[in-house]
Amino acid sequence: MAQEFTATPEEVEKVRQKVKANVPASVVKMGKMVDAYWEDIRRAPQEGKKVAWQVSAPGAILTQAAGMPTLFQAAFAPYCTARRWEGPLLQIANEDFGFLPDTCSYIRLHSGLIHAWDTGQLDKIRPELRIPRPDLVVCGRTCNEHSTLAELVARHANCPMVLLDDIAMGCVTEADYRKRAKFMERQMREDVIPAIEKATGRPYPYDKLSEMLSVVKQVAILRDEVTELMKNKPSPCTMFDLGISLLPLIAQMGRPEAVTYFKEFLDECKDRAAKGIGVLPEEKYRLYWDGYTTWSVLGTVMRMLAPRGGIPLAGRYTWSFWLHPEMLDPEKPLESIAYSLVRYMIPPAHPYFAKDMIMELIEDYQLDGCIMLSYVTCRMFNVGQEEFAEMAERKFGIPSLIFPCDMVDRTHVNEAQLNTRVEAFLEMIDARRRKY
Amino acid sequence: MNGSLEQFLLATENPYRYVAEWKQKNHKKVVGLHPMSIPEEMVHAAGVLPAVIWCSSDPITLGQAYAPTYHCGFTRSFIDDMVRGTLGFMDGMIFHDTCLVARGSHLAATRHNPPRYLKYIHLPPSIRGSVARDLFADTLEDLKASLEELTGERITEQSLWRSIQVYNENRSLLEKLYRLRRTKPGILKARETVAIVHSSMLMPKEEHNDLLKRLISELEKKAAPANKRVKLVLSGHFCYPPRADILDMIDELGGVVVDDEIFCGSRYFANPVKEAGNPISALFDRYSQKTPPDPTKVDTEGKWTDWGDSITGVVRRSGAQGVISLMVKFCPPHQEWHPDIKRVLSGAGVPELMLQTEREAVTLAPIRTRIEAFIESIRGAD
Repeated sequence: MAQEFTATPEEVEKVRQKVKANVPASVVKMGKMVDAYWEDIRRAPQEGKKVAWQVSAPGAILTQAAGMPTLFQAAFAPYCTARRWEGPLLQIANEDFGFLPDTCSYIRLHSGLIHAWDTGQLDKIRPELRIPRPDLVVCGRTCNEHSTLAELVARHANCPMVLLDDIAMGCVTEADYRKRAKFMERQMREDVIPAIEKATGRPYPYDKLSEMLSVVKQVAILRDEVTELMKNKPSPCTMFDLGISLLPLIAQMGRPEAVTYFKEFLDECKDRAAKGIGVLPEEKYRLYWDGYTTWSVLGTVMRMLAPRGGIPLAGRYTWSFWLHPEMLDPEKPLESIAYSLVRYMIPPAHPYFAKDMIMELIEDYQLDGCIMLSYVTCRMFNVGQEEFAEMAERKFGIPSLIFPCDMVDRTHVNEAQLNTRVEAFLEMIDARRRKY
Repeated sequence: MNGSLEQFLLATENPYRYVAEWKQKNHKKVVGLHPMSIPEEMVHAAGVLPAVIWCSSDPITLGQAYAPTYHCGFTRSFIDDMVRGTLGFMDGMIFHDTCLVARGSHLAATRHNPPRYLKYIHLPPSIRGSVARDLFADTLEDLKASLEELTGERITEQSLWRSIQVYNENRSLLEKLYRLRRTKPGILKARETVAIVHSSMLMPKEEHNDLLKRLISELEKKAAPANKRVKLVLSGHFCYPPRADILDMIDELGGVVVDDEIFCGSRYFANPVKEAGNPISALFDRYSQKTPPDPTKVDTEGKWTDWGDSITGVVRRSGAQGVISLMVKFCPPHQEWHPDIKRVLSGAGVPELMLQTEREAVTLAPIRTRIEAFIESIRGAD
């Protein structure tokens, strides 16, 4: 049965004041859904459930269908960072475990947690972050360092690890993608599913997987309708509102409340679009955003952009999950998950494929400029940005701002400099408009 | 000895000139391979020269605009080469997913002076399981077909086995050289050993084998220098050779490198291909070897002690007294595993110094001080 989540008008107003923008009320309750997701995982040992940690592309659906509450690595990092809880974990990772500070901050967060478990330092981290150690690690490899994260965690947690190699690079034709998807499906059948069965002690529930995939499909279709409305001027929501709403598409999949959430989100956007209500009083700069929903600076950046009329509208990360949901077939779940991963979800993480997607987004959403946060510790997203910037300039005549940052580790972020650069960047857009 | 060694040093001193001149003289194609794991034998079997792409020592200029400063020097150097067109003599390039920034190198190669033949292959990161083996085979068959299209010549099973045999001979000779170095510490300078291995990545293997045989024959007759130097193992340093000035420092300050597990060292020639069965399957068997542990690949059944244990093994077999971990700055595969390496070496009582190295000219004085102090601390302990 669907859980109910609500946000009071006071809670909505508080968020709007914080980010200086008229964000949709419906997204404000996502924070509570996130809390419930993590509470599920924390309770798992008491309820006799096995816990999985999932690294990389949304294979979490595979473990969740088997009844394993699953930490998704790209959900844990935002959970820590959005609430400014990441500090002690990074400190344990840097000072105690021994990582250099420019090591991937996702790796440091998760290794810091395992190390805290291993060395009895849980008292240094908040109770909310004391996620149980995994009984199984399932690793994709959209990013090469995903597997390092998974190996570090599994080896130190002394639990099994299984790899679902994300294998899109080198594909040129549709036939290439189909062949690779078949390899991925084999990995699921020969490696991942048996590992899950061994961890749970039960045969794999394919019917549950089909049911969850059906929900994911519904949610993704609703999401696509929202993204279509974002082409409106003014847009009814920002890319960050979508980013905040990713939980049901990447981390906690198949829950009926996700459909309710996105229906409400879509209805609110439709209503706004019909009335010409946007997120900002005046939408002056429609922007491409390259990178994650960057939790370390999310509110900060909105406070820099919104008062100046800037709205982050489209970006490859937020756009890459379960694209083309119409081709998801709950009757053939492994086959269609594999194809979706190989054909649509993994390519945007590779700069060679991402460049075309980025240019399409700029054109479709009629964007005025690009902000590309260059994560010092995340090479999956900082690779190729200079090339994208040049391409956007040549093709559309729009400028880009590339700014060193980090998705988690605030020691790599200089807010004052970011503010100055954002200001100058928006002035550059104005100057070009005057010139051309 | 000077003849062979001089040839090795000349090749590595200016790889651009060496490879371009080789191509001109021999009228054959050259295909650059992104380090570290592309099975060169397949490219060799196509009748072209497989040259492992190198890191330039020239200042990075135009390429600066296309990569952040916090990418490794090798990537920035390569991107600079592509933007400036200095690798224009190459007929082709092959890339794979060594690490994340290799993807940026590939993108740069497609956009800036791309070679006629440009291929990105997916080598399975997993070293276990039948899916990995089958995917590797599928990838190599695809690579084979594309090379045949480039050259207009078929790659037969016989030609692939011949190439494997040539490469295995090179591995065997380099292993012999390394055994000599272990038993006669100081018989070669650290920079000379690295140049010998590095030149193997640039020269036709047949020529390298001939030169190696001559060198080994001379070294076998040479006595080991009498010295009380501190014996050291070098660890890490992926994708390109360590800076010669740092290697020279080790020699100057009383150390002697007796073994290593760096890329331009024993990693390059580790594990011969088993000459039996299907050649592509045999290449996978080599590719998927667990020793030395390769952090750019995935071992789902590994232990966190694996790499540290492997380095400890190298220390024990060579009688070394310490390890210098040469970590390329901004090299995630190395830096992410280094804490565990340190823990294992410390537990095994193996002194270790970790040096982050940079491609660009940096102040060497602090590095010199640290190497000197490290060597003295080992001497003092002994």
